[in-house]
Amino acid sequence: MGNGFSEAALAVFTTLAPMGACAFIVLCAACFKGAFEGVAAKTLDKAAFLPLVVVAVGFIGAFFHLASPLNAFFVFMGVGSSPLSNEVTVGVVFFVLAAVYCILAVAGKLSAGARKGLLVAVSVMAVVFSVFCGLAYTMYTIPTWDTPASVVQMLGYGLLGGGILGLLTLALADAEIARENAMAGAALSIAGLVIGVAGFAWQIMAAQSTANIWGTAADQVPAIWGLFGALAVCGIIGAAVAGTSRKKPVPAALAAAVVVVAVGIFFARIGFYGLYMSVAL
Amino acid sequence: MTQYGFYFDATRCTGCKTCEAACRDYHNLDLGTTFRHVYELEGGGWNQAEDGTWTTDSFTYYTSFACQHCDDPACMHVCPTGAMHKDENGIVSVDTGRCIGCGYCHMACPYDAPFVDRAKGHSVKCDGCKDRIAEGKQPMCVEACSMRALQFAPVDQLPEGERAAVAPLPDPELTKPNLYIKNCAAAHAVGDTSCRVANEAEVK
Amino acid sequence: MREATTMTRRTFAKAAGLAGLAAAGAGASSGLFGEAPKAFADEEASDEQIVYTHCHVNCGGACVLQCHVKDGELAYVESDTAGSSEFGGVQARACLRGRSIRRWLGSDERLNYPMKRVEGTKRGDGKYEQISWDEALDTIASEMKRIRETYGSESIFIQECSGVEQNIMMNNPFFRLSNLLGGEVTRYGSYSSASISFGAYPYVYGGSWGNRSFKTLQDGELVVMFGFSPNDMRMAGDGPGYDLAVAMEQKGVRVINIDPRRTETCTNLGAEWIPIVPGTDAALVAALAHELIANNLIDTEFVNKYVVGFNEDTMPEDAKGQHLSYYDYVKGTGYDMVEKTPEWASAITRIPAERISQLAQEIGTAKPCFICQGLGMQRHANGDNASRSVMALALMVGQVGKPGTTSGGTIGNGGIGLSSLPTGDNPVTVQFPQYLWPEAIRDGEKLTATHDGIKGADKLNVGIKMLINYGNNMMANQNGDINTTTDILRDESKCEFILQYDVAWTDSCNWADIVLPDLTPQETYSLSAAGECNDIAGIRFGQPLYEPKFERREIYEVCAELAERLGVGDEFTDGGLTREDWCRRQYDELVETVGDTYDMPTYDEGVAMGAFSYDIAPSMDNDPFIDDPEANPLTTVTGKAQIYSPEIAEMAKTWTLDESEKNAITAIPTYVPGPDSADDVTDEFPFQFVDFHHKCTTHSTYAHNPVVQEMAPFQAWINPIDAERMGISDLDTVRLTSAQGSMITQAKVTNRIMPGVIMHAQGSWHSAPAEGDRTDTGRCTNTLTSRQRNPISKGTGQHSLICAIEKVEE
Repeated sequence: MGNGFSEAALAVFTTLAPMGACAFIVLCAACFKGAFEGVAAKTLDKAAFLPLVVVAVGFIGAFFHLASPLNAFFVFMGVGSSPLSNEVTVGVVFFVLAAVYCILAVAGKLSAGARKGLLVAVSVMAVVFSVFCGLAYTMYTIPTWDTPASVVQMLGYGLLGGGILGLLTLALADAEIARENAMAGAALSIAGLVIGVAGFAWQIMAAQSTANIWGTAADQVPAIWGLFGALAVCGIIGAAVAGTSRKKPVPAALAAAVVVVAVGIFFARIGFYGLYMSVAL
Repeated sequence: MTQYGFYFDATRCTGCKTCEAACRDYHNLDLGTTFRHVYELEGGGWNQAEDGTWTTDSFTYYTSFACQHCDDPACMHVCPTGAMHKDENGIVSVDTGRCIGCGYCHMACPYDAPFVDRAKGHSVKCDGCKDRIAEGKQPMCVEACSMRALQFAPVDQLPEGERAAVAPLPDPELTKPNLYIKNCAAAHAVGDTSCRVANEAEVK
Repeated sequence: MREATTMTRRTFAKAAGLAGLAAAGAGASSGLFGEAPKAFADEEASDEQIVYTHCHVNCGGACVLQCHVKDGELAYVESDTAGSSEFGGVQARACLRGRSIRRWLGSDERLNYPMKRVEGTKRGDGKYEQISWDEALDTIASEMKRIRETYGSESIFIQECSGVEQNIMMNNPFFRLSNLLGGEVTRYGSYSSASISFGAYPYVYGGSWGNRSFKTLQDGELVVMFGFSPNDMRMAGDGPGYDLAVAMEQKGVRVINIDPRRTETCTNLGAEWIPIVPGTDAALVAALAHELIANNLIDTEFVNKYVVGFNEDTMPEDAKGQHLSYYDYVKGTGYDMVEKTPEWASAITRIPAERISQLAQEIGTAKPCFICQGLGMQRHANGDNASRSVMALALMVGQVGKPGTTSGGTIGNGGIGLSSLPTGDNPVTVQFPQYLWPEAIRDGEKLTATHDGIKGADKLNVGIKMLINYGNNMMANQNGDINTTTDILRDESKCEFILQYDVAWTDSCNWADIVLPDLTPQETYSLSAAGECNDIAGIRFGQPLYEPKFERREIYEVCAELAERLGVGDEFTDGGLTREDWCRRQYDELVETVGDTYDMPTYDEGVAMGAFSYDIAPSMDNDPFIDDPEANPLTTVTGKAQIYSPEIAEMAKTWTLDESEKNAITAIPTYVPGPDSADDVTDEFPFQFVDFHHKCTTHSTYAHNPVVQEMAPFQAWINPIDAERMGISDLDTVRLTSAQGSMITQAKVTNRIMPGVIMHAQGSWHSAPAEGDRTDTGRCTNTLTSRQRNPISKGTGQHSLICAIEKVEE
């Protein structure tokens, strides 16, 4: 019940990790548009570490949530049955894949075909990972979370954040490439914004009528629509900055947009955790 | 496998919380934490007649419970490490060497049984006083109840009772709790929304 | 036949042998109960040791604490595990308070060193400095000497010691010492039961009479309780709450509880609750009498044979022909000339008239019918009469003195009477009513027999100049109207020396000149009878759980050192006996006196066992007075049970009374609203206020144990209708205010309290500045209560109170 801020570490994780992961989708799109065929390829490969670091920071956040992080390797024992194990496993698979890509790319060991193949795989895993971040909360004793809305919004947040973060990654390497791929990043962000906002709204609406002995779930978070608004506004700002990059990508503006969007998603996540309500007590 | 379970004779309970006190003492629980809960529910209201006299159809009743050592424990389902496990007596407890303290068991359990003790670095919960059971003794709460309202035994040896089907508890179909209750007259059914928790400060 | 309730392996064989030998013992006790005692895990082999002691804090029980001690520290507590664990069996299982004692013993609030008030500060300033035991005892001894020489022995008062009531030592060492030096003024009555004991029983029965425990209940019978909550406050596994629950389940006993609050007897146990406006019980009884008369349900034969004053026929000769009977009062032909119809009573009690009629029908037709009262009702300013009225009800239907009944007063109990440390003779005979000790300080010789209930003299000769508080929290907690009381204490020209000797720093310590740190009963040798209120015969043995910590010392040794300083050391210790020696001696004497009735272990066996208990089989005999009233008269002036008391009739003529007590002394138990009743609520103080005994504490003992506070917080109970009107939600912080003071507490919005009434658990520790805004943030209800007293007993009337409640923003 209750206070979403008590799960701030998880909110950091679910904000940053899917966002970092989905940023690779923008890289993948850029790759198919030939971004890695020019002189900027080397800088781009270095910049690709940025989303990887964002994912890692997210994982570190999750680590702090644990009371006994040293036991963390036991987490794979529950694969199949525990949604958390599934999420972590998918996340680790994604991370290894993404790390392999980054390392091989920087080392110059990737043929064009291998690069494309790997980026497609990483992108698919990014989406799968975002979905599993949502699935992790679909526990049958928690009616406010046990809904597709949990999954939908998580996917949306990943795409929203990933689109802008991906664009920032490109912009840090080469302004022209960023300009050329701005549509892809913006489209991803806008799609993510729509999906995320819809998923969160769906959950909030459902929470109005989900009740246990303590009352309805929505009553627990009186500011829930405010948090929703924060997500929407931050998301629109982020998507707008992505859109303006079609003309002139400004790395600083994109970086600020990434922060704004991350804050928006973080607030939405706080709202999500606040809506936690057990079927009974 | 033997399946141990609790029996709660609600018709004897006076809400005194000695079960909870004894458990907190024996397990040396920190302030603010408890394995056993005693919920006070109330409902109904008051009516004043024209002559100023009062009548009431209000009711109050207590339900005492800890971990139900469910047949189908939600905590075990979500546990990523398998630390949460059932032993040969059907008692659900935490393998502390394996628990990462992620808190999913706490979130998933609809009985508010396990919680993470960050200082200890793992989840903690009612383990049916299994060390005492092994010595042929009763769990501390059972032994403490001055009204003899609690029992703990293999479920086929418990007196007849309804399977934990009383507000504020969840639908027993969900996790198949091993708590059998002899309901008191004031008890209301699972999901009843006409009653409210009357001792929120004591159970939250 | 006896069975040891608890024993260790070391004594198992021997005690088991004893039990075998004892088959013919214990005429008054029932048979052996329980399975064979089990031996505990081999103690010698492990580092864990079991030490037995017990919890006795004036709740009426004395529960076994089977303490698991590891490395010299209490690890955890078990209770009574011997005897039968079946429902109906006897085990002195401790309640949440006793089970939580580990945290209490280790509490930060414990007193560790002798302290004295810093020179130049006033009482209440709360500034104290550590001193040596020598300095503390030298000061106390010299003050004892000086005050006795200056003002006489009557100026010294030793306060009651609720916190360590019942055990062998209590505060008796102070009495023993003082009596060796010339004695001291004493009190009569108590906070608990002054009105029923000194304003009711003596005038109805000549004294406490006819009380039986719930074990006497018969199959299917009706129990009617007025303001009694045995399942809230007497929670021991061998206590009355348990006995009642057993009777309800096993004998199908039906219970009706008349109370402003839904007590625990009316929650899961399912007793019927009839909500009543506080302080109006005598009005209800009058209307019940009206209906009993109207429906020919008065047991006329019984009344004619045993009762004085019900009707004209049964009036004493000199009171006949004046319409002074209870019948005349009820029928509107005497006293106020108002007929006491159910409608009349319903306007006062707020109980529907038809329910009153129906209740009369139920009471009049149930045979037997167990009519009893708790002690809350008699703590109103009209408590003397209220208490007597319920006894009158039982008399009208002939339901006293027989199996299945009690007296209409409290419930009774049996047991083994253990004598505490002998105190010697007190040459001072003057006594004052307990509740008036602050007035005995302030007004001293102005207190008289016919105005203030002074006994043994026409008046006090001198006020209290030396106040010795041991094991109590009376000065700033457990006495009505703390602000007035502490104002009296602040004036050092009145009471010249105050000692506070306790286990913890309560607010009362802030009013003392010297504060001494005590050991708890669990930290020293203890010996207690099975329970003041429990119908159980048994003894609890207590050994210290660990070595004394800090500079805490127990009372006997301390008083022995004072005796040494005052030249009576040898007499005090009777040639050098220690506390443990006295436990042994008093126990051995007990075995001498009752060893024929109960098979009892030796002292050493008892120590190893920790406790033993016998169940007590209820007597199936009538009281001798019922069998032959001529041969076995009661000790009233008429020899009969008195609804009309000639003694009180005389008092009404001769006593001088305060304005609030006028018309309140009546020979029959009329309904007198008294001051600050439901009739007196105002816009300023729109609620009646009553405090109650809750599971969180016994009086103020254990009240600051945080684990108990979490489980059972001190809260102001308010009805949802009132709460909505006042804009208060559940768990809001609220301010309660009366004419006497103001306190901050938490609201519990609940249907368990009737509208118009606020009730709050008593006992929480007062916490407020001594001057200026004295708002109490400690949730202590006596910040609100008044100095109201009862007209006859002069017992506390602090439940007569009106107050305001408002939400405060945190």
